[in-house]
Amino acid sequence: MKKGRFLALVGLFMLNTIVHGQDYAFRILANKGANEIKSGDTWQPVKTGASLKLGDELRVTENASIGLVHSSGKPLEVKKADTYKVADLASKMSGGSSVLNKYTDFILSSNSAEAKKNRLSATGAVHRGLEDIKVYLPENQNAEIFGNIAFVNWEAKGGAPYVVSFKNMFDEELVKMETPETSVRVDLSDPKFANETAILVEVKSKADGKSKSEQHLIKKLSQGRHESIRKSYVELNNELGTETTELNKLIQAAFFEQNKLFIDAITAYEEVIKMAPDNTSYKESFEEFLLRNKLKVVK
Amino acid sequence: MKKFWLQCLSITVFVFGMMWVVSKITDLKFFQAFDPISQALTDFEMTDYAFSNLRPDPDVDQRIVIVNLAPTRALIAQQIMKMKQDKPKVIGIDSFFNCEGGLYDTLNCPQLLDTLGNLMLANAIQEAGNVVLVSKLMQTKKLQAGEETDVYDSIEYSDRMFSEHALNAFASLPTEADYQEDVKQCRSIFPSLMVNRRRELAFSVGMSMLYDSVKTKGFLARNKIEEIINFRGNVEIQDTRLASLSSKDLSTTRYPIMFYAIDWEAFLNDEYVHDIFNNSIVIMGSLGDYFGDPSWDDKFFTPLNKKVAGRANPDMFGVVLHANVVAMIINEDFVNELSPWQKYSIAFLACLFTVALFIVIDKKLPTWFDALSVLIQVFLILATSGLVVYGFASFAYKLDLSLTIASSALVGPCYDIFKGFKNQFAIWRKKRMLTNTSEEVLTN
Repeated sequence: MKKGRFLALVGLFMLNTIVHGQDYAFRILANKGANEIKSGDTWQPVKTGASLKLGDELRVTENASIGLVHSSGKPLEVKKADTYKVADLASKMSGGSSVLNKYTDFILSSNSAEAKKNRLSATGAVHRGLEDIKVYLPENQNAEIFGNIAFVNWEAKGGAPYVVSFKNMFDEELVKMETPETSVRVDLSDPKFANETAILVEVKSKADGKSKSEQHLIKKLSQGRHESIRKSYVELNNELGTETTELNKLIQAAFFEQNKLFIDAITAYEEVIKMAPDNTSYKESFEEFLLRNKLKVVK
Repeated sequence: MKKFWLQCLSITVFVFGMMWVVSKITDLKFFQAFDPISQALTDFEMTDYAFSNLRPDPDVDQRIVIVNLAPTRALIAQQIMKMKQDKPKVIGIDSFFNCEGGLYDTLNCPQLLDTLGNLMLANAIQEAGNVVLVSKLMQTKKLQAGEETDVYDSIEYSDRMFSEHALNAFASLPTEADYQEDVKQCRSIFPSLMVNRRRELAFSVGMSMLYDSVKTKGFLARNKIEEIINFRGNVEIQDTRLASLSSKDLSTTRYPIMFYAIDWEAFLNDEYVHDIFNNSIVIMGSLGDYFGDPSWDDKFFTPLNKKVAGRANPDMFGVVLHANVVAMIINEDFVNELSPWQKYSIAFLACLFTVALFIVIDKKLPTWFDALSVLIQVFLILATSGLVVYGFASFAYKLDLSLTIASSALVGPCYDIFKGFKNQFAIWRKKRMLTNTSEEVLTN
């Protein structure tokens, strides 16, 4: 009887080990970029530490990479932009290489890599000028705008006054503004912008003619995406109520940030700062938002 | 037979005598100006091949999580408060929170202006209760004037408001660098050092001590002043936004992701599964401004670098280097070395038996001696080098057989020189005997 109990206990322990051993094929060790996992029918953003099962799929985007750890404990890095079946990745993990195999790989790899190298990738130069005026607007892939109002803020080495040019994609000037400040407000409902879906922004120092910013893009949302954002925005505002308070504006800023509509988020922050100019915590929140989204770089 | 072994012994002693003379001549550095090869190979060790290319794939240590440090103290405080909720066992912060050079004015130290951020950080460290902060070993001017190199009598800490609520452990690593931005190569650590009669622990050892004191005490009980790091792998993430780079393998090491790693922004945006922090060792440090930042700030050359000698890009951030040491300690995965007497004995015996072989060949096959002796030397050098790499790759045993290799390289020429002297000596003795005999004949 005692022997039977003991065997049952061992059996249970082994079953537990097997079940846990097959719990996942990979776990995410590190993630860079907007990669996604398909578990079931839906694609979800990758989270560090998340488990991948054999039936799942993994989508790696451009300029992204994922570090995985197999259930055996061995690491795997996936860098090439593509959609991968987890089962295919798992099949690559079977078996380890012997020292001899590694030696052969090493000899073969060291013969080929250097010869094919592009030797002109680096220049003997540095980038200057673009950093003279740093505009706090997002990179082109996040340059969409939902509303009509945009605030363009910048940090400059060259002196005031500044000239801010808004151009269309054919480099034709639509609007030109001159200001002694380091910020301008632009209304895209202005008829001059009516036919434009993409607007280029550039800031120059009038005092120092050489000092100018990089060209930034402001892109109006496509009709479909505008509609879907509008629905969520209306729902949010219904919950917040009709009153325009500082807190409501901050919540709106968070909503825009969550939807990667950074230009609208900047507008919301500017409005809340305008409502309470003496409250430094709003300015700090705005600063943190700029840092968090790499619109501003700490020096 | 006794005469044979006596002859072997005398030639072996001659080889070692020659090695001593050669080492003294090279110490004078007469030829260094015209010797770029040895300059390029100064930092090279045979075991680097094993580390970088040949050893079996190591396993990921899922108990260690590296978090990229946020750019401001207020955000770092938020990071600590957030991770505290997931109950990590230890939080190591690989950053100083003080004014460099002791210049406490807002011009030289603008972070003093961020009073709220400073208070938040001090509070977060106190609340967490399990934080290890870095310190730096220093020498006073009096000690610098002396000849002591690895003796320290003073320590630079983070400001008291932060350091008083944390365990402080030194992050100083043995490199040839004179300052932080200098080229740094690291392959070992000092586990602990006595500073003003108090035992100070290294940063990685301090974290391991809070995590698993039994294993860490076992590590310290090895009683080695300097321990070779058994590097597991790296955290190396590339930025390939340029299309021309996307198809290239830009990694400088063979194991680019070996620990959990989260960028500061992804951490604050909650883009991780919380259970990875539970009961883990969290090390917060710089992995660049963002994942993929090609910055060389706090980046080291390690033996994991695919390029083992000559000019290469540094491969590992300091925080990952500390993570490797922690992994080594908690896995008890140490690198063992030969003691000096073992190195000398192996070299002596190898040389003795090679000389014996040379004498036998010289007697039995005199016409083939030159060709065979060179072949034996080449074989010995290659076999010893292979043994060094294999011993390290397979058993994590560092066989420092450079003395054996040197004696194998010198044994052939030394044998010829010794034989030349011996023959000349025999001729002199024969001449002298003949002269004495003819004098005796003439006298008689």
